[in-house]
Amino acid sequence: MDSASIQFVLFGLAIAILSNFSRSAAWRSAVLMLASLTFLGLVAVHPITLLPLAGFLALGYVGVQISQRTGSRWMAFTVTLILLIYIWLKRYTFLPENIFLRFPYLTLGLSYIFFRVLHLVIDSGSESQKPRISLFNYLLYTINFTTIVSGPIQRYENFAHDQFAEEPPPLHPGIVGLQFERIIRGLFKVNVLGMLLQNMQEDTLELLTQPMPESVKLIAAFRLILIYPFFLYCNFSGYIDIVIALARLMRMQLPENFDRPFSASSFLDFWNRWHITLSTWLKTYVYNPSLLTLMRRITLRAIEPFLGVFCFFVTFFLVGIWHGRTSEFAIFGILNGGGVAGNKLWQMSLTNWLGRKGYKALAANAVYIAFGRGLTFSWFAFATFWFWASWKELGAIFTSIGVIAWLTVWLAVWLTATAILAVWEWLRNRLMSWKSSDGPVFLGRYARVIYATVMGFTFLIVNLLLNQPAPGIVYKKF
Amino acid sequence: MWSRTLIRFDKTSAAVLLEHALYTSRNQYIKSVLAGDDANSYLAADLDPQWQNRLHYFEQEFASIAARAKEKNIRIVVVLVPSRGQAALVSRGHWDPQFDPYKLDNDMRQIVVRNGGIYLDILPSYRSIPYAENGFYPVDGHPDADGHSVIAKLLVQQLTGGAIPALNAEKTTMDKGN
Repeated sequence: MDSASIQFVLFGLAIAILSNFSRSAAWRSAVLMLASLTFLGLVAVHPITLLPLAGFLALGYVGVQISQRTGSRWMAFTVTLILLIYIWLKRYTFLPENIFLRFPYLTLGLSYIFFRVLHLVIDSGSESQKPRISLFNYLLYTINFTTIVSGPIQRYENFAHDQFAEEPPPLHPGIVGLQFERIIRGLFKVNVLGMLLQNMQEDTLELLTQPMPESVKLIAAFRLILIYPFFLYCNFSGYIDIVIALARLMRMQLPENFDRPFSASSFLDFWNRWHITLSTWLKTYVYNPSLLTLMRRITLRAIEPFLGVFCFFVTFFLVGIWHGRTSEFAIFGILNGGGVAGNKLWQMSLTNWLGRKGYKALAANAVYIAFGRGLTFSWFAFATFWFWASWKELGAIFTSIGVIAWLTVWLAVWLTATAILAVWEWLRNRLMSWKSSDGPVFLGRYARVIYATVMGFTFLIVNLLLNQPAPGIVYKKF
Repeated sequence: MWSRTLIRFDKTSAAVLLEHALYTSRNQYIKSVLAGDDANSYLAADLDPQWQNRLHYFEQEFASIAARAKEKNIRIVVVLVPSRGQAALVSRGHWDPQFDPYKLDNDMRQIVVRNGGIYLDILPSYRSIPYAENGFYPVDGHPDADGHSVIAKLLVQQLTGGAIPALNAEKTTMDKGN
C-alpha cells in the first residue's frame, strides 16, 4: 500500500469517488480522515507500532497550541524539543543505541509530518500568521494519506484553502482525464522505467565489484554514475505524479515537486527544480531567517556577500542530513551544500570579473548553459553515491578502478551528460514548437491519449509478466 | 477468467520475447524468481509441506532402488543439476535469510548418503562461476550448450576428485602420463 502499486491507486480512486459524493467540507474531511486512518492501519503491522508516531503527533499539537497562545516566547524551546524527539525516533546513529525504544515501530511519514508540524509551530507563533487549528484539522493535515509517505510538503494554508472551502476546486471531465493520464504516467515511471533503471544499476554495481577486465569496469563505472539520477527521478517523481493526481481527484491541489530538474543549468537552479517543496521549506525556515540574523549581526560590507554563501551551505547541508541518519548522509549534505555554495561563489566571482552585464551575457550563452547542465547533472550524480551506497559499497566501488580511470570516467560523464541533455533540450523545444490552435501538439488531448495508452499497456504487460510487488519508493524511508 | 487470460498471454511469443529481455538483468530475474512460486518451494530456507512430501517420496523410492542395486553390487550416483534460479543466487552469493538455494541440495545429499548412494555436489561450484545463470535459457530455464558444458566439467571434477575412487586413480594415471 505504501508504494506506487495498483492497490494504492485503487485505494486512492475509491476514496476519491467516495469523497465526491458531496462537496461539503465536512463530508470530504470525514472521508479523508477515514482514509488516512485506514491507510495507517494497513501499513502498520500492529497497532502498538503506531504509538510513537501518535506521540510525536500529540507533541506537535501541543507545540502548535503553545505557539498560538504564547507567540514566539516558547517557540525556540518547542522547536528544539520537536527536533530532538524526531532525531530520537528516527534513531540517528550518532546517538547511543541504548536510549532508543526497544520495540519495532512505524516511522513511515515521520519526516514529512516533522516538516508540517514545524511549519505550523513556527507560523502559529509568528505575529503575522496565526492559523487557528483544531485537533481534527491538525490530524487531517499531518496524516493526509496522499502526502504522508513521501510528500510533497504542502503548507497548511494551501491545504485548508482547498479542504475547508465551501466551493472546492472544480472537477470536470477534462480535469479527471488529465489526472488519469498523470496516474498512468506515474505508474509507468515507477514500475517500468524506474524498475528497469534500478535493475540496470544493481547489475552494473555487481559487474563493477567482480573480477572483470578494466575496460568492462570502465564502462560499468560510467553506467553506474549515469543511471542512478534517472532512476531516482522516475521513482520519486512517478510516485508524486500519482499522489498529486489522486489528491486532485479529491479536489485538493498539492504543490508540484519537480520541474524538469535535469534541465537545470546550475546546481542552484537544480534545487529549484528537484524536491521543490523540501528546498522551499528549508529556504523559508532555515535560509531566510539565518541570513537575516547574520546580516543584522555582521555589518561588515566585505563579508556580506559571503553570508548568503554560508547560509546556502548550511541549508543544503541540512537537506543532505535530513535524508538519513548515518554518516553517509552527512557527506551527501556536505556535497550538496558545497555544490550550492560553490555555485554561488562561482557566480559572484564571474560577476566581479566580467561585470554584471558580462556575466548575464555569458549565462545566456547556449554552450555555457549546456556545459553547466552537464556539470550540474554530474555533481548531483556524484553526490548521490553517498545517498544510495553504504561505506562498504563505496569502498568497493571506488577501489574497483584506479584514480586516473575514475577521473576519466567523470570527465566522460560530464561531456556525455552535456551532449545528451543538450540534444534532449533541443529536441523538446522542436517538438513543443509544433503547435495547433490548442497549444503544442504533443501536449494536446489526442497525443496524451496515445502516450497514456502506450504507457498504460506497457505497465500492465510488464506487471503481468513479472508478477512481483511494486518497487519501493526510495523517499519513503526518509 | 483473469488467470486464463494471463496464462494465454504468458504463452505468446511476444510475452516470451519480453520476458527474455527482462530476464537478461540478473537482479530482475532473481527478484522475479523470489517473488514467484519457486521462492515458496525449493528456494525457501524452510521447505513447504509439498516439497517435504516430495523429498519423503524421493527417499522411499531411492532407498528401494539403492537396496536392489546393492544386491547387484552397484552404487548409485546422484547429481542435482541446479535450476537457473539456484545458479543465479549461488553465483551472486547473497540472498535474504528466508531463502536458501542450497537447502534442496543439502536435503538431497543427506537422503542419498543415508541410503548408501554417492552424491555429486556440483551446486557450490557455481559460486566461482561469474553470471552462472547465463548458461541457462532465461525463460525456459533449461541449460543451454554452454550450461551443459559447465555441468559436464563440474561432473568430471567431481567424479575424478574422489567421489569414485576408481576414476580418481584413472585421473592420477592420466596426470602422470601428461
